Amino acid sequence: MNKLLTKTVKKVNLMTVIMGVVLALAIVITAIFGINYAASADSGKTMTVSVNGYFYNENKEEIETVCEDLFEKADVKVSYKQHGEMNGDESEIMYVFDASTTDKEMDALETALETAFAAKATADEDWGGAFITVSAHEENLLVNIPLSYFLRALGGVALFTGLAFVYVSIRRKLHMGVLTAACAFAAFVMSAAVICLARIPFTTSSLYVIALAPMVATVICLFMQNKLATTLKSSENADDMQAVINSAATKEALAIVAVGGVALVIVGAVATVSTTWFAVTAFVGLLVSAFVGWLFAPAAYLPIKAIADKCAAKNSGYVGAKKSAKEKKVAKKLEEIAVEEKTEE
Amino acid sequence: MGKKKSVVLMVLLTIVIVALCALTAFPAFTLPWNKVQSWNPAVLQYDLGADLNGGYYAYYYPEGVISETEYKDNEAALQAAVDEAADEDKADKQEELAEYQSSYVKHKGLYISTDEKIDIYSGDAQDPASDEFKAAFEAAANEVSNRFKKKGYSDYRVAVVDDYAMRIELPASEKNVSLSLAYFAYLGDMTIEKGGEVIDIMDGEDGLTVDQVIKSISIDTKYKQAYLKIKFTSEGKEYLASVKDSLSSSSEASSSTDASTLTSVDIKIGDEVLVSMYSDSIMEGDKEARVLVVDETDKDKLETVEILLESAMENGGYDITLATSDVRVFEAVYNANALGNMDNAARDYLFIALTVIIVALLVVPALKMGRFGVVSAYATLSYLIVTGLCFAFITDAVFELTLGGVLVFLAGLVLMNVVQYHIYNAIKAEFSLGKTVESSVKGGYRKTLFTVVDIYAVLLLGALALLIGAAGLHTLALQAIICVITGAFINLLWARGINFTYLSASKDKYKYFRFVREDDDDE
Repeated sequence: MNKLLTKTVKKVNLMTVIMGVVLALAIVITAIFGINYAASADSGKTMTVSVNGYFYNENKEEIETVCEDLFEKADVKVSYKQHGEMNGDESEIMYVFDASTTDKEMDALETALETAFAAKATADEDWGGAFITVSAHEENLLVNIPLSYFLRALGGVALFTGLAFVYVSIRRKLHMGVLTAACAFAAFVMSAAVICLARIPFTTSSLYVIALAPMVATVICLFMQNKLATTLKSSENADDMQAVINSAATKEALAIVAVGGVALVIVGAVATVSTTWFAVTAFVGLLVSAFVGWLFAPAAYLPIKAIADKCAAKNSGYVGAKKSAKEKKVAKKLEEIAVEEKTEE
Repeated sequence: MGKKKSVVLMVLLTIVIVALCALTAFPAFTLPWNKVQSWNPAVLQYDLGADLNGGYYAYYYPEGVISETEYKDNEAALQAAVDEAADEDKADKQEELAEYQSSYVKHKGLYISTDEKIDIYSGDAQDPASDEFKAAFEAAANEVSNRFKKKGYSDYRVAVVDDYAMRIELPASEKNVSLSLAYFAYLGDMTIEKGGEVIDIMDGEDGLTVDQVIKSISIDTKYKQAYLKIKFTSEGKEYLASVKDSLSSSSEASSSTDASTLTSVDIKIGDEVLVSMYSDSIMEGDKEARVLVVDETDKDKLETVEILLESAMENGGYDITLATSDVRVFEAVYNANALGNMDNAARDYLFIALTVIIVALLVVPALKMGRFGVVSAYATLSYLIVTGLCFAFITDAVFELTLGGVLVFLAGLVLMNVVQYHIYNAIKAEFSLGKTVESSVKGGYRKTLFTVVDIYAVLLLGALALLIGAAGLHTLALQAIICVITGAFINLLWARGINFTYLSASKDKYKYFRFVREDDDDE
């Protein structure tokens, strides 16, 4: 791992450029195609099958089989289905299709379903008690996710970045605070960019991942900073670059990624499909945070420290002792003599 | 600490932790001695968000608009009447059916009424809604959407269906779903009436508007009860002072069987009375009224009324009436099972996944770090107990558990174990310098103390910062505060205490940490 860090610690410019390119691509893709909202958070076409309560409770699976066989024959993809149930009264099965499904396709499906249910009612006497109506609809969300949710998440992350900067600057030094803030900001921006670029279905849960990613990156960065502070304290003449390489939070970052990654894989694999996409989003956030805290932070530390040292040197520069009035008089006289001699020459 | 004392303490601690774990997470079962009641662990008390537990939905139909299902049902009923009618009545029934069919025009999945009295039909079957109706519906739809947004649900959905109806989805954690759906459909003008008549200061062309009578509406709590506090302007105060004595009292209202004998000042939206003010509702020198007093845990109801009244005061009424359909229940998206028999596959699968993760975090540290890993296992169970119980029982209003809450729980659990691992490595590093085990433990904890303090301090600042987030992010921040404080307590104090006790009882301190003495190597 030290070999990897030895290579990456000098590559802060390259990493910054790569992150800039990813961000730019994400902005362009999002501007052109918009955010890829999950089906449950987006507009779409729906087919509602309303069934009287008694028949629904007894024959729900059969009704679904009729519908799903027809959808498969018509080669129309169902985003998800929803059961809207009422005790003792009419219940509904709602199939949600992508917004790109045409009105013609929906009308054809509606007719085909009505015909299929009518044929079933004629052929199967168990279906005699069925009252089934089919209707096709178009749903347009007024707001996918309220803008205020995005803005307040952004505000929360900005506030966290500021507070982390202040805390670390007071605990350690200003340049460490700047590094912490840079890591938090990079993790926030990169996790949002990668999620948009990879077109991972976006829901309100994605905002949680984007808000937590800066905190994970900051934790890994803090492990590094504390190790570095201990290393530099114990050997004042330590080579900065080697100290940074040795202080990188390799074990901690790998432990977080390994344990967190396995946990998210289990959640994604065992739970339902919507939870799976959430686990994918969280995994992306985890990887981005680990990259920022483990590789980017050590690489960014040295340039930030160099700038801090330069500023410190400028502010503490020796400008000469204050001259007394006598010294000023003598200096002026010497200057006049020098000018006279030059004129004579 | 002596070995015997340590062993006794460890046994007691183990019993307590096992008991609390059972209280927190042992699967539900019917009590064998009482087939009616069942044991439910704390984790089943959670209010789950829509992503884990589905929710409710209903439709809003403007007057003159019906669903295709309703149209077809009515048409089928009329057709059946035609089929069953005697020959002499058949023509009449046929005419009824034809009249019904001609009174509606199809538009996508809806039917628009052509009735002139309702006056929404444009006359064009291709584009059946009139421009006035379209404009009124658009304004009403935006108003309804804003109202639901102000409720701050973690997940909700407000969609326009087929251009002229709405479908609202709310999470299962909404305890007053019928109230919220009914109230937010009220679009009439806001008025103040006494005895069925608009109050005289608001009557006529020169009459005051509602916002000139009411200054503000807010919710307040006192003595574990919540109420709506309505503050009046000076004109409103004057009016209340003049009519206060003529109003009935709230005790008369609650005991009365004939509403017509009561006198109250009512705040209405359209024809719906939302608030009735009686003589004892008016307080503080007639400047303020306290109404709709409920238990503090039911404050959510008042929030709905507050949002409705404020939006009606701000935006006025709309020239459209919405009717709410029946409310239906839906399960979490992509769920395999429906809610009919109280199953919840999304929640159950997630709990199974979390159980697998927790078992892994009990076993792997023990394999990696020896008995120090067993201390980490106790720490993991302690974390599960504290956060599990806090998530279930710390509620001011709704403490909804969403996928974000699960993520924060997992993040805290993973961090806590990583910090334990970090401490273990520090102790190991101290030992490698040739120190004794006790000295290495002391040195390891000392050297990692400020790292751990810094991490949890920054995370606490992060959780506090995220409190400004909206809806689900705000709830996530509250849950994060619990996880951070729990993790900090466990890493800084609890696990250290358990380690101290366990180490005291250990026969071989080297084996405890899986350390190898140099002299053992030489042998």
